[in-house]
Amino acid sequence: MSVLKADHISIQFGGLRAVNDFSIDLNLGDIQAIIGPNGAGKTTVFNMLTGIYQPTEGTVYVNGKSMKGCKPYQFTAAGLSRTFQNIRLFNRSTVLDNVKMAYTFKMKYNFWEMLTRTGNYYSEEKRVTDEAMRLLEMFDLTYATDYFANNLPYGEQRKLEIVRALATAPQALLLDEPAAGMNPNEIDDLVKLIRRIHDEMGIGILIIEHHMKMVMAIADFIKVIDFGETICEGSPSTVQKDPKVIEAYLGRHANEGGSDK
Amino acid sequence: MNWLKKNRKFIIIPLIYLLVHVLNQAKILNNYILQVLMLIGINLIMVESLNVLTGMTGQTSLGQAGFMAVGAYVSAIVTSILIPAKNFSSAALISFKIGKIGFQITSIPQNLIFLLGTLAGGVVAAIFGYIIGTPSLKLKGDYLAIVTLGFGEVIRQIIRVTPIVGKSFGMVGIPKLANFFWIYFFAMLTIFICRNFMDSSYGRACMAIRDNEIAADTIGINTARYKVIAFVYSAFIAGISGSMFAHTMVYLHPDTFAYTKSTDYVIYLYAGGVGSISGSILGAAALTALPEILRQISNWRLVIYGLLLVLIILFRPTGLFGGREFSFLGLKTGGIKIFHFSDLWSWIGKKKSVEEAGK
Ligand SMILES: Nc1ncnc2c1ncn2[C@@H]1O[C@H](COP(=O)(O)OP(=O)(O)O)[C@@H](O)[C@H]1O
Ligand SMILES: [Mg+2]
Repeated sequence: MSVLKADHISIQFGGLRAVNDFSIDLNLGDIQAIIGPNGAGKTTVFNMLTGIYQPTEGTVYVNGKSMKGCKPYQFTAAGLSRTFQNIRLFNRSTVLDNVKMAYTFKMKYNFWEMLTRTGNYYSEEKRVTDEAMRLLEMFDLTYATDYFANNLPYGEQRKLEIVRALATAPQALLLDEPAAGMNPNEIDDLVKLIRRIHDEMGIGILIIEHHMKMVMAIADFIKVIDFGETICEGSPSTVQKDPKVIEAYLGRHANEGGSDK
Repeated sequence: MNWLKKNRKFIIIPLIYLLVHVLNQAKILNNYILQVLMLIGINLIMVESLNVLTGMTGQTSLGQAGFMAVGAYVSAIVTSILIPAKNFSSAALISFKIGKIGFQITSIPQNLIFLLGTLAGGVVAAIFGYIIGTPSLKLKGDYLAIVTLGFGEVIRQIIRVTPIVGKSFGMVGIPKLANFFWIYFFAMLTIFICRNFMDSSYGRACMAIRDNEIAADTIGINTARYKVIAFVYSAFIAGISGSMFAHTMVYLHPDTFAYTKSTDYVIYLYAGGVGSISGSILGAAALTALPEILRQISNWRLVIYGLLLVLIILFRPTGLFGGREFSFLGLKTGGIKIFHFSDLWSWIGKKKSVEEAGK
């Protein structure tokens, strides 16, 4: 079933056409990837797919629903969740609270019940705390529940951002360069983590990544963009052999690995 | 019994009240000190109100005194219409004794009128919070500061030309309905509803917006909605404080609510510890009392006050309380943030907690 679909979306910033005519169809259980050199427009695609930017042309559908004019929080409510290339955690809150914040839109007590702390308040808080703890446990973060988010090691911060995204119970998870700044060991763990999410939750995963080896190992469908244009798409082996890709991307960056900002 | 056991940490609240009351009866606390304590309570409510907006939600406000003014004038209008000044005298006071301690309360109808006026002040201030919060949704930082500053000044100028509140001559004949009991009661109530707010999905949503608005949006938080809620809630609390102020001072002048009053509250908030409920209590108490304590050295008063402020901000950039919370509030905001009285020594110097609680 298609959870995320974009139909020929484009976006223009003043004179710059940052992304032109991009389409995607992500189903439950898919792992797809977007690759391309620095500044190609990958993050901009994500921003359009999650409602941070409105495409100048074309429409994004989440679970079959047109998201025209919707705000990011509505994309999330419709079943989408994402992480960021530059980690965006709530640094002055604890790890546990970071995850609990992702349950906000599902809380079932009103303002008055909150002020007076009714039984409903306590049972909802308990439910959400338990669910958040269960997720943290699943990803081995329980040791850190009381830490401030910015006191976590870098790799753990990336992991926490993924856990927080999963707390919204998405059907499609979008990861923007999750391996950026990680060492080979951490990348191995990350690959395992993504596979686990895929196997246990059966959701659709769309990943932007610079590390070719990782992408080839994990994705079953790859789109390559350069200067905002989709220059190639297909299975890892197809993409690897495509002369345009070798020219535009692999040729220039093959030996560089993740050098994005 | 079980209930008592569970809530015994709150025993400090009635104890403080009784202590003040007994000391006052024993003439150890004179009326001047009692007045200062009442002012601390009024300012404490204001700083908590600002803490909801700036400390938790990250929205700058230099117009908090504007909300306070709305609450003060609206409540004063309500009570002075319902209790004309000539009908209000100390005859309305009822005295009684429990053991050796004497108590005095205003009659029940008068107290009800006071509560009604206070509620009206809070509600109208909240409406103003909505009016100013909604169009300011896209504004941040300096721009929001300017808009809220302008709002406060507009309120003051409107009061200056409104006949029923005495224009720029000031409003007189407000019944003296507030007393230490009521101010203490509302200050405690404010602390508790602010704590309940902070430790709920509402407070967490606000703090998420403060720390990273885009991330908050992408985890499903309707940022516009929660910013408006923070504005309305904060304005409501400021309105309550305004009512306490009006019925303590018995006289209101528009210039009392100039922007300097708003900036005072910003200073109290940052000195105590922005984002922390206990820090706001401490900031309000310390900086309200300080100028009074310094009164004996009248000429140097403001110099020393200013110097102390600079020192606080330089050496304790996260505020006097360094982001901690009193343990009796039951807030679990990060392991090291809870304040026990045994910590007393550590926050007097040492930068340790600044690094831990900071950023
Ligand atoms: N808000 C914006 N305004 C103007 N230009 C933008 C904006 N966002 C992205 N761009 C431009 O779009 C291009 C693609 O950027 P980006 O999507 O971040 O690349 P990538 O993630 O592939 O490295 C860049 O040239 C960038 O400068
Ligand atoms: Mg990018």
